[in-house]
Amino acid sequence: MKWSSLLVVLFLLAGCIPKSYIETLGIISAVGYDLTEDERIRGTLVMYQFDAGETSTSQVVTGEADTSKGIRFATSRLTSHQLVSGQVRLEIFENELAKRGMMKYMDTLQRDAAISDMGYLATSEVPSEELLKSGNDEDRPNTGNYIQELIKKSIKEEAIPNAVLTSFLHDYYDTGKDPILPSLTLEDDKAVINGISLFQDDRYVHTTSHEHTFYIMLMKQEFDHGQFQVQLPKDALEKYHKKESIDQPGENALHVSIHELNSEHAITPSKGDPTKQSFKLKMEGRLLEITQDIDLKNEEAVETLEKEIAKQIKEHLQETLQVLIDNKVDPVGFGAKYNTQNRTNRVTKENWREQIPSLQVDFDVSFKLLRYGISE
Amino acid sequence: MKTNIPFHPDRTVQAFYLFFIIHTSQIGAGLMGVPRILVLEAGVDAWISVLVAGLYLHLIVFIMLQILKSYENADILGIQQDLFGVWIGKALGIIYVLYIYMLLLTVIKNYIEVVQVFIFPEMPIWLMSLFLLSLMVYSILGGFRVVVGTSVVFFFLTIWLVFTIYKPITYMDWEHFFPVLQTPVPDLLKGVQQVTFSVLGLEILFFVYPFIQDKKRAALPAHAGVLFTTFLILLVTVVSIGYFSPDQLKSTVWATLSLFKIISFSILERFDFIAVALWMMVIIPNIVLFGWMIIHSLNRLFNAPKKPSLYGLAFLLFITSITAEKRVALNELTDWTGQIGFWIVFVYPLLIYVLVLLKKSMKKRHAS
Amino acid sequence: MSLLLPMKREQFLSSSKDLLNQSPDLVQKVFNHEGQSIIVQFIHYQVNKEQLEDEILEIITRSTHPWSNEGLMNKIPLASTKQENKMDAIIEQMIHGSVCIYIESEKEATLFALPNQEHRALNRAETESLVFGPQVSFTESLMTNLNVIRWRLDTSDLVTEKLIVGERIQSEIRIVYLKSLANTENVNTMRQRIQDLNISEVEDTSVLGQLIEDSSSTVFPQLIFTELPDRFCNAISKGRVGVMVDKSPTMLLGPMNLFSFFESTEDLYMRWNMGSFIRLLRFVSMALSIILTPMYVAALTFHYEIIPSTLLVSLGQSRSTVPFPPVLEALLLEILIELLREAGARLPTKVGQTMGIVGGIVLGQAAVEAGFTSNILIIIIALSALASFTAPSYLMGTAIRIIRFPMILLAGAWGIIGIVFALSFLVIHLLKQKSLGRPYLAPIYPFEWSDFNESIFRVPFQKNAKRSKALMTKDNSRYSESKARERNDVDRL
Repeated sequence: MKWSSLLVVLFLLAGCIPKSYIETLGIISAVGYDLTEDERIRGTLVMYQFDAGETSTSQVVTGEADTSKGIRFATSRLTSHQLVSGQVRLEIFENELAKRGMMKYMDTLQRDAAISDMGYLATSEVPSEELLKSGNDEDRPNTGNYIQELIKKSIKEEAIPNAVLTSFLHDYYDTGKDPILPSLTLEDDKAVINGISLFQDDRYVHTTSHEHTFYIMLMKQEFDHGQFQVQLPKDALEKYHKKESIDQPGENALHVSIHELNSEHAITPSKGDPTKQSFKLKMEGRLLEITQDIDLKNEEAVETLEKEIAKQIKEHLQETLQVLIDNKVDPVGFGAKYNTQNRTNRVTKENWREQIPSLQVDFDVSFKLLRYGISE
Repeated sequence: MKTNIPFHPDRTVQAFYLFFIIHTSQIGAGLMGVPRILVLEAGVDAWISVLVAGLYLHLIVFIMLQILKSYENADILGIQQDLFGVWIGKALGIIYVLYIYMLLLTVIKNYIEVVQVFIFPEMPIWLMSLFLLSLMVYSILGGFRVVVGTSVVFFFLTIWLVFTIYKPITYMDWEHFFPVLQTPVPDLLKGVQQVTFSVLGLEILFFVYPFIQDKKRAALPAHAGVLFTTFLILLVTVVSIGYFSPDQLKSTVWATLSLFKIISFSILERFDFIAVALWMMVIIPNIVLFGWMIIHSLNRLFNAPKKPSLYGLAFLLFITSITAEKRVALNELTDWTGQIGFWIVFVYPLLIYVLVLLKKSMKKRHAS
Repeated sequence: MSLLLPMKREQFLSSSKDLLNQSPDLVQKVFNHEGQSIIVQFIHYQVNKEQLEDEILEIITRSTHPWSNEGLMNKIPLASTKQENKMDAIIEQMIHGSVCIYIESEKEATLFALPNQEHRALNRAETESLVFGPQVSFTESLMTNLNVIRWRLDTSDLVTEKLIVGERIQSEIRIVYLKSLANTENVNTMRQRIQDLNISEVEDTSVLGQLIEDSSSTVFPQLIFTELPDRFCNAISKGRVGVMVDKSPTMLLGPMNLFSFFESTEDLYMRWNMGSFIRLLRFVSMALSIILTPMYVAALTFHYEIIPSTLLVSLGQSRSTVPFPPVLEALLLEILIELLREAGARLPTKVGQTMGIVGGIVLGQAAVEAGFTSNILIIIIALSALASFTAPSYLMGTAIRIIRFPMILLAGAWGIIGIVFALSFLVIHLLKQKSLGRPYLAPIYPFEWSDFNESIFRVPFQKNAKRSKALMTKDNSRYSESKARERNDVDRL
């Protein structure tokens, strides 16, 4: 007994590991990377730090360096707290920097076991420093936290595709597939999502509009409870206007708003040729709003409406695909899909990029209205 | 040394504990990194390798049980002596002991490496090694029943980790598996060999068999243990292949543990820390069972007194585990142990079986 | 060499005095009648005076001459009589409350047992309390306790073996079990361990318990002490072995396993689902009690990564004013709680309540406001202290509180690795423990699924036809399972 207790004391003395008490740490929660004029990286760190008698718990510091780890050194001069990255939840890359390929800046993210795989990634049209130092009129500890919650909520609402580090790396490493990320910008000194940015491997190429975001997602993933609006030709449903409104045929454009959207799709590549694929899409949704007075009790009217919506969606899909082809990117993974079904003429990371411009996809869209809301 | 071990009811356990003994001695450090080494050899068809390896494991268990059944109450040490004579038998026994020692060392060193990578880069190796070895000594001092108890209780304490894998499953991309059978057969077979490296420990059956009460019922739990091992390996391999891209998986050393990185609860942001620490509880039955095998074998071979040889073993393990710090050396050690283990555990029993059969037929001829 | 009864009355009087060290309490009443004398001697507070006067003195004075032992025995209407010829045996009987009647020239003296013992009546239980169920507790008197047990276990099957322990001061000990149920080996182990004791005195049941326990180095109790007759009898009727010690209100039960320390008879009195819920609640609270504070220490000292971002800010802010590292902070508060508990236990009930208020509210509040501790830690410590008090066995609750301290230290030194190491050590430690030679972690190892019915869950009685296998009772079944399924309802479906 005596010996063992002596041994225990000895351990306590000899085997201590450096402590990192929470109040001595500067816990980085968001990081932004920008390219400076002289081709260096400027990093903006949003961090939590806890000082006695201080009500504000966050601080934003900026430093310049040549590597992402270098930024930690550069910024640690600016704070009395030890900077740690185990709570990083958001990484923003300025477009200019992202154009040069993001992987070299993300190497530490992947390699360091302290960093969570569930942090969000995003690109920014304005320097991320401005973004992270922008106003935060919501009741959030800091802007980094606000942006993180914004992205989180948007993903949950299926307004943007999943943007966690894991899925980015997954798409990046997959052959015949490119990653996408949400794109941020400033509006009235407030950070907002303005679309999604397309990547060739890890190189940023283009930011799409909101409209295209929905259609890219429609191709890339299956919806569970999303929503969307679509504009139909003004006179598409003229036949079925309710009697009383016939006198004044709709002067408004015909907008349809769908929610509770559920979609399923199947991509079938043709044998031996990755550039010819067919895309079958089945959608179901609930009509939330329609800007013309349509008699929805009439089955024919509903059928026509469904067909019109499907037609519109198909057109938009074609349009969106053209944007992707123009930018030589494949976020949907047509190439990867081809690879799963073909053993010959396989797609590789190198040859797929060359083949994307000749990609032809045959869309087959069907749409079904489920319920029409509470009014008739 | 007698071929058979006298049967003491007080020192034995029921047959169904074989499930825990075999399963917990197979699952350990190997499971942490098995998806990667499999995919390096067999690509995305690695799961086929796991299935083939599983079948082979069952065959080996069957053969082991056949060998053991042909004796009254013997372990491998006694059987070797019976077949090859005293000197060769003892020499083979020493080889067994050395191999298990290497296995034990590999397990300890691999786990320490994992703790350093995932939790504490500054964790001193000697301290971790002291932690693990003190638990080993403490448990083995309790005798065989406590050793078995350790494997049973720690099995229950850690098996729930399997359920946390549901989160990575939701991130899986099933398309990674298609088209099936991309990998040529020789590579698949190499994959099979890789699987066997990570399920070493099966040889414990050769050592604990004399301590089983109802031997007629031993076959079912033994096969069930191997089946469950195969299932776990298959599960983590399939989930890893779906979760990671093939290229990504090839650069992820501890793929199984990396799967835990995306799991979080509302009161616990990063489950991987808990999982890696809890993995110690997966390792402990390994260490304890292997340690017991060594002590027991030394006692059988040389009549070595148990307590001093236990302390001696712990000391030796401590010294060897704190020397050689680099990852490269660890990889070499792991590879070596795997190679030796492959021959000892998965090929050697076949040879013994043939010899046992020959001896039986010789005896019959003599008798008639 | 003991002194034989002297034939001369002077000799008897003086040697009695000598043997009782000239005790002033010795009463020696001499009756003389026609040259024959008769001496009635007793210790005056040890005997029942009324009975003495009515049933002995009265008869002696009225009886006719000549006196003889036989004549007295026939006349005096008392059941417990004895004849002794050795002086020290006589004195010992007198100490226990006998009246000695000496007739000159008789070879033996007659002893009538008229003990006058002062003891309290059956009372409400104090240390183990039940909300629902019988409230009586044992008393200090062995006879009363035996009476209670006989009344509850109304069967000739009940064995109460008598043993005497103690070299200098002797205590009567009873081993209680059901002959047709209790495992013979368990009874033998218990008897053997008590008989082998070579000790000058046994103060109390809890001392006896410690003397016969399997391992004295562990903090975990291996035998259950209880003051509740219903708990005692319940265990006996399940096939356990009980021990009663005279002059002690606590009883001893064995063999036990870890889980039986979390059983309360209340679980049986309540409906099975409530009982199961409460029992599971106890297990969960034990686990929390052990894990919570060390996890706090580990997270704040090393693993800031595992703290959820929503908690991070409030944790960080409350920590920022604390001048000590988390280990010290946690230890300080834990010790504070222990102080409160100890002080509350030593003080009379009414003062104790005030203590609770002073300690709990004033100290806690002030400590947080002074920036001495973080308020989240106060919540955690209070929660784990509360959780440790849910154990029906006070000793187990204390054991759990004690093992928290090394765990906090390990968590402070090596974070989560330290915690897992401590837990592993604890589990192996428990695996090595035994209770009367039976495994301590019983239904888990040796693994016995059917025993989970009783020790971990509390299944309905209708589903629990088999007795616990761990106790190795002679009769395995409680009732016939097929009969239990029969239904004689009017509207049978």
